[in-house]
Amino acid sequence: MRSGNPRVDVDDLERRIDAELARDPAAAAGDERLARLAATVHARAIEAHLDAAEARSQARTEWPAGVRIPLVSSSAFLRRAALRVLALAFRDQHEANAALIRSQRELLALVQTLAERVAALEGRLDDERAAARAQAVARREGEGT
Amino acid sequence: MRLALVTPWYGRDLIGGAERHAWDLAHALVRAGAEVEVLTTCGRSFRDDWAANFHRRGTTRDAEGVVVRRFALDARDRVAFARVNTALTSIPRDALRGDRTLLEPARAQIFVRDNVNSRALLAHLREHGRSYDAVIFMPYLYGPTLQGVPLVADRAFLIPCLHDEAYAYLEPVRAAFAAARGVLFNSAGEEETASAIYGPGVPAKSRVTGNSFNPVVPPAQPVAPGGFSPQRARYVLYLGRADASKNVDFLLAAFRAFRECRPATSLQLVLAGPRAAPHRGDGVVDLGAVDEAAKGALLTYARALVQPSLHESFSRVMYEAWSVRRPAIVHGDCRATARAMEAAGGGWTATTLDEWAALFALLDESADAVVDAAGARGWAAAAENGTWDDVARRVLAAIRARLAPPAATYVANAVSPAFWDGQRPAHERWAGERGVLLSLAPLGASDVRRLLETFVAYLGRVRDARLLIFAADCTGAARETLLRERAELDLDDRVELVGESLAERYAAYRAASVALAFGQPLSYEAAVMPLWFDLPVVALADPVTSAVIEPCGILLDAFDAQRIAALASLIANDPHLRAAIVAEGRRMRERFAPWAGDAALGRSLPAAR
Repeated sequence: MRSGNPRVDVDDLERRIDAELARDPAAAAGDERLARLAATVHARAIEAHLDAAEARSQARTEWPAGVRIPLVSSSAFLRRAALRVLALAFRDQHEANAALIRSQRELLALVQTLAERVAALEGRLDDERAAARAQAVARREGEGT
Repeated sequence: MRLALVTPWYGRDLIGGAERHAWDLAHALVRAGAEVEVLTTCGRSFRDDWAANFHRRGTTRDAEGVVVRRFALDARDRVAFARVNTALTSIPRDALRGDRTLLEPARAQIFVRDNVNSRALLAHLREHGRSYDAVIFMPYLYGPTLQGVPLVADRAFLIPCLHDEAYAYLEPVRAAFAAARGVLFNSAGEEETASAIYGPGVPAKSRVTGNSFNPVVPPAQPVAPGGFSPQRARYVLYLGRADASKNVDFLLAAFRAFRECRPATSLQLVLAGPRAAPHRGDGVVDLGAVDEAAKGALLTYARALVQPSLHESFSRVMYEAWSVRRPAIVHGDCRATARAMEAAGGGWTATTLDEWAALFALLDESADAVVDAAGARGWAAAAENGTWDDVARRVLAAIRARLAPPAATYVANAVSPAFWDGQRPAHERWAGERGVLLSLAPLGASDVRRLLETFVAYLGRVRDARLLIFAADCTGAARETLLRERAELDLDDRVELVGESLAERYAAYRAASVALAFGQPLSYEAAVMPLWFDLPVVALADPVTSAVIEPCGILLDAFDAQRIAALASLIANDPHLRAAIVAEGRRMRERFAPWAGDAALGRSLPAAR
């Protein structure tokens, strides 16, 4: 972070931001709707990163337009050959990347399932609390009469 | 240059700030070589009946060469006016925000119709207005100004003597500001108030021409007004009308709080000025109205002057105190006095009651040298301010510059606020909200996701926050992503696309608290325009933001939603941080103003000598 404003002390501002984040690391925690919103946005950001990683982890089947190598770029045969060699050389790496991305997706799905489960349990808990409260009220009224 | 000066009451002996201003300015303009006709009513003063003719109708010329034309007053419905006036004055200060409409049109019209008015004066303007090179109207809130400006709009110059008060937010007042050819302000703080109320169209046609005062003459002989000997006492001085409209009740409460903490103190509060009934309190001396000699003595020996008023466009008494090297305490919520104090360093600014009490304690405990040093800085500012002749020269220069054809100076990447002049927002849906973020940058689909991520983090810190995005900034994919994700995140009521009409864009700029630029690189127009709306900007570094935003706002080299949200909430909620960013933003926007290359069109107060 930087500012050329002589009236703004950037170091002090950094400290205040740190304090703000430390004071309330999960700012949305007090509000269930916000907490769910924050988690959803976070999950979307992870998905976007995984999509980007997946797009770049595939073995190339087309020669990149911006890459110019004398002789190779001008020959379709040499281009195909070069791509095959590269795919072969990095086959293990591609498989490892794909496995990692798959596992991250599984993990994300698991987290989302757990979050839904927690939400469902919270819902049940609320229902049971409400039922218990209603029973207590009914009992008190019964005792009163 | 042939000038008319329109003002409702005019006379040598009138004591109101605007009335004295009109008198002094008219005479200074004549000394500067202008032909001046004062167009006024036959009314005696603000304090008398606004429909009663006291002076004789007709034209007179005084010894100094000022021609005065007096016109008969109109009959008026006092009860209807009083009803509307009461409604206006009882609106809490917090409710006075930017573009909110305060009164329905019919009631606002009553304010104009049953104000002090003269049909004869308006007829003179209609028939002879074009014979003047310029017509100066002052102050802003009376009938002759509100009805007169539209009649000679192409040559109308307002000296509004504007305060941040309910009257200033009325639609007819907005219309007068929009119609006027130029606006001449008494102080930089007053201009800031006008920009806050009427938007960035005002700086495009305004100039700070200043105001002046009569330097105080220290008494040759000791004087003791009401038995009080200034030279033997330790006191802070309030000078002026001692009533609630000048925030005197607040001053008394703050002084009481100070005395409660320091019962043994010898510091007194002296009030000198007309009032309905004497004020009492521990350590309070209320002298009532005093003559010039007593005023000179009271100012000369005061430890400091106190100016708690929120309704000032220029505080004469503050400059009078500075002229005898006494410092002053002013209220932080009054832009005119607070900005003058900030620039001069001739005293202190306090806003809350506790801050005022603490400053009384500081004055009580500080060494004389510390207090005198602040007074000396004030004296330098008073000397720099200049005389009425300097003010008259600035007024004439400003009028000539505004009436002249636009200068042909080329300013690279100029961004003009002029097309916002008189603009009203498309709606008031967002007006008054305190947590509005405005996105400035062109957006791709991934930028939209990052923006939403930031907004959700911000929403966790600022409840009822809102995110506004210009529809024109979104590519097809970005728009599609935004609409889809907004619906999925259940943020339809919090994230809004701003239409392309000028009125829609204006509403968004005016409502925003903080502007964010997290997307594709900005254009100069996108970077400079929010500065005309006094918006603090937080941006990702790119060539344009490095040139425009870094010198005044905050620049980030990497994206971090949580940190940006925390930063935006700090800026939105910390008035000091916000003021620091906005103040530098004002400097920066002037560099890109179309008039930046032309000194004659510059708006800042020129050196007096």
